[in-house]
Amino acid sequence: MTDSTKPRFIQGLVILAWGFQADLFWVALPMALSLEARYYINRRWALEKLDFYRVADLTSIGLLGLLLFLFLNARTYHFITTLLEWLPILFFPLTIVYAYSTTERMSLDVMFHSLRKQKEPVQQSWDMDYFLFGLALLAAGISTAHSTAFFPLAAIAILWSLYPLRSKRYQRSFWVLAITIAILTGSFTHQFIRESHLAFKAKTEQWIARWLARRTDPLKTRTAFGKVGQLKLSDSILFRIQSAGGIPNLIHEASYDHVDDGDGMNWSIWDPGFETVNHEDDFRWRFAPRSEHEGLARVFLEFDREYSLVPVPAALSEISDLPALDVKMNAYGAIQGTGLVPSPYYDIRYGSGQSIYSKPTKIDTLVPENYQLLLSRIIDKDQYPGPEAVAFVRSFLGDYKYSLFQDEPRPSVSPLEHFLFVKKAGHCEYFANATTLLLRYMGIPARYVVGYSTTEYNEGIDMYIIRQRHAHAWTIAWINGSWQVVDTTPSTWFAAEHANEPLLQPLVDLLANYTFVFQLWWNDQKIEDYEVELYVIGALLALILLWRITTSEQVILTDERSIQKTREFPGSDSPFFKLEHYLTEIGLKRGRGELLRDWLVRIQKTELLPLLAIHNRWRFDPFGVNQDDKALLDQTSQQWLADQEPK
Amino acid sequence: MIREFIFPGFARLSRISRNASRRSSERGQLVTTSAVISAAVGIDTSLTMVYQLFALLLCIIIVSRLSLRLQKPKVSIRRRLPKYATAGEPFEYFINVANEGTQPERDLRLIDNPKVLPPDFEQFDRSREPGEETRNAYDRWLGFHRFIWLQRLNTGVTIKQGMVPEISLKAAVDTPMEATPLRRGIVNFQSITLLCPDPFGLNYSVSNFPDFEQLMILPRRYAIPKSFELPGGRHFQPGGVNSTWSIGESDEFVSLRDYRDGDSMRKIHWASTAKRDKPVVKEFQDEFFVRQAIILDTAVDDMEVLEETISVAASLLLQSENTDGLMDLIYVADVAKIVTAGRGHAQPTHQLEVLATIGRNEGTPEKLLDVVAAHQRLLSGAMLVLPGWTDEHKRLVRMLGKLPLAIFIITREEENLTEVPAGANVLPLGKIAERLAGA
Repeated sequence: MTDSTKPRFIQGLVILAWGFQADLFWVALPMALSLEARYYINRRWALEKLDFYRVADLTSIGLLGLLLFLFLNARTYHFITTLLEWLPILFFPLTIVYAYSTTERMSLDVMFHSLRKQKEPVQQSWDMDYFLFGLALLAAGISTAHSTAFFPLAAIAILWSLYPLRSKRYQRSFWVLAITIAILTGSFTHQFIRESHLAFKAKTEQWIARWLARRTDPLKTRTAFGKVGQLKLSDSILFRIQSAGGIPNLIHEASYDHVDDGDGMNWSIWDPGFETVNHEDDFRWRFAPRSEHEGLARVFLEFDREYSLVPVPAALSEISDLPALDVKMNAYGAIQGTGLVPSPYYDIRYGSGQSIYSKPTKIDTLVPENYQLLLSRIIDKDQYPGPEAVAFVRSFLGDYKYSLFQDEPRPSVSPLEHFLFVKKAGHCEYFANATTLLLRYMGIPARYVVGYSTTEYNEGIDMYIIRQRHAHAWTIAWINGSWQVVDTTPSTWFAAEHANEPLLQPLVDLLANYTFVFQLWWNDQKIEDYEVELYVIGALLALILLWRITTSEQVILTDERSIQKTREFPGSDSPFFKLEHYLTEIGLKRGRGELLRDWLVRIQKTELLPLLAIHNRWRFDPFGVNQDDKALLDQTSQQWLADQEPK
Repeated sequence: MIREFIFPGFARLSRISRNASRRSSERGQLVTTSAVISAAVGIDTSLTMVYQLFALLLCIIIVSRLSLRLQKPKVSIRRRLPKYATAGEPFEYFINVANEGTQPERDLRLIDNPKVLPPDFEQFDRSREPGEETRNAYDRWLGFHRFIWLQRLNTGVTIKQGMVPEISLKAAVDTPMEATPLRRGIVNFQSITLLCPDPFGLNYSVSNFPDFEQLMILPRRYAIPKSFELPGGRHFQPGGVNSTWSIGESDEFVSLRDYRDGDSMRKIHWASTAKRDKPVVKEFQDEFFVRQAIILDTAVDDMEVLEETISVAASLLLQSENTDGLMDLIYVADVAKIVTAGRGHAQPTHQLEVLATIGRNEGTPEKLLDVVAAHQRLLSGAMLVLPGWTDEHKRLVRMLGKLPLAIFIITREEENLTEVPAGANVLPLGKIAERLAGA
């Protein structure tokens, strides 16, 4: 229905502006046209509450679908802004249905399911036109594409919609003055808001930078003792690996050659330099010559930072499909992606025989003096030269027990001493530390390595699952001209940690794995693949719509003035009107207010006077005319009209 | 427990929202809501441009509020209420607005303020809103709708906003107000609020004019067919068969006198009227009029049944207005009372006023039985309007013995009634109008 205070065109204009801003112009155009066309179409559909409920349910389903879609595609779309940008499309069906129905306002039970059952009639209602108008205006402001045009657009839209509502109490000039003041101050205010925000942002960024500078540990080049251990407390899944031919047991992240001489057993690297690895093509980096025996694996790990270490096997030969601008590597095999963007996976090739670690240096054999004293209590420096040293360390630590990581208070002696001589049990960090230092003490170059163990295989999704608690530390030793893994942590560690997992963990895993598989499938889908299905659904919906439009009850709106004109009066069905119409057509129009009798005399059609007599009785006699006279008038006038036809 | 804790907040919340909603038009509220939403969405000025919309809406609201201070209407206001209104029946009354300023007044609105009576927690806890079970779980749990319903019911009347017609200089106009009484009893009017819009039509300035007044709301009444005859009238006893005849109207003629308003047509002495060219009536010895009674029991806990019982009694009273005898209304409030209407006594409207303010009989119907027993011998017939059909009611009917009776039983469950006398009108809630129409 049409409300006289509802301004025309403005809703269409705002919708077009929104379409233009949101790159949805071709969606917005038909929306705007169909909404504005109602002022020129007088057909309305007598829809019932149930019909509105259906459309509202469709809107709700659409909204849920949109939320799900945005949730699944959070990488591609910004959640809130995209949602707001698309909302006008979602609420358009409800608005258009109200626009072309005989109901003016949407009562809230249509939109809110919980109100539908209540006996008390719902009092509150919304005017969907204003709702869509506001939504489109808001959505038009989401994109910053044409930043100078938005304020004038908003000002015009609001000015236009407020004008018909103005109070008759005030003169028009007063209204103009008031709205001008409002728009001008609005213009200053928004500039003020923008500048204040920028200034505030700059200030806070400074504060945060200063605060971080005091606290950030350069983790990229150092590790603190206990870092791996803390990770061991969490069951959450970090990444998954898919490989047809099996993968190495250990996935390396970084290795360290330098140990502090303090008590903390902090490892760091001597040479912090990262070097850029050459691209083979856009997303492929080669680390070793190609070989036929390379294994291939896909690592499903999403990076949430721009710079991140990339977990790889030590025998890496290639990384591909890594969503990075550059890949850098240091002498210790730590691989860093820069300019990373979120992407579901990257591929690795490995096993060509080469290792990513640089050859040992003198640093790799250094043992701080305080540790030398400690280790001398275990063995003489020169007792086992060469490879036998490894066998000794294995057998020596073989008697030690694995114990879960506990954030226990530091003992009075150094952690290593406590581990070696008091507790004789610990988690992987203790074993790796002790092994590295013992080997070095016996003259074998060794490094401390952190990474992950790939011991959990999930058959359901055919992948290795790496959790935070799979974080692991081990040693590499330079034996017979190559780096070899010496992992002295008792093999029971995995089982021990597995036993410690929460009761509901399998359920959580199941959910996480299926969400993950669904996301993989979803990411592979392209809208083009479903073209046929979409066309079929579209055609079906169009048919249903067509059917609903044609079969539902319709009302023709009429102008008040035309009602006056077409109102039924007694004798309006008299055939004499046809004669009058014919005479008017041939140019003998009756004058304004001229009596029919005078007119017939004037145009010399006096033969019609007897018919006029019957007609007048038909029109004005309270008793009407009898059927015979009616038939006579009908026949004679038809005869007369037939006679007038040119032969 | 939680409800008891948050209950005091309900009255405050409803007062705040009532005051806030009258300060803005619907579109004003839309603008304010949009400003709040755009502030939330536009908080990051680098991400979107919605903050520009917020700035614009904010400035419009500020200009609108400021402009309200510029043009304050100078008027005086007086309310004109009717004497009575009927519960559930919308009625119109007028508020007179006189222009005392120096320019014509346009586009003003009026809100009439009856005294708002929020329920206390006991009433809130005891009552159930009709159809409350169909509300959603949250609304049921919170009970705010029940609070609002009770508050409206206690207040007693809802009044629509009135549009003041244009008032030219030094003129006064009547603004029609449409009100719907929600219950019987007395409604207190407290003040009148005058709303004056800003140029944009978004917000209103509010000025209050204290104006205390009371309005009596009569009970809701049902239509009773003309064919319904009151028991014990002389139409029933033409031949002196019945013992009641001795109390009936005597034929003993006393004198002739001029017709007075309210005299029955039947008593006009046509011959004298023709002679004197003005109506003359015969006067009889008046202690022998037909005397009927409506015996109303109000000892019932179910408030809905009580209201309907009173409504039925009121409907019967109205019917008796057309008769020429005396009508007693017998009921028990804190003490037993008899209100008599008819010639030489109070007007029937007085009885309606009594019914409008009558409350529940906190005791048992014993008192009622006593007073009826004492009064019984004066009556030629009685109508019993009873909430339910208890043993006391049965005793009452037995006690009245051979007196012609019309019995009306208002009940919630029709099926549970036993030993209902033949001819009694059983009126279950929801079907009262229907059953009475067939009485």
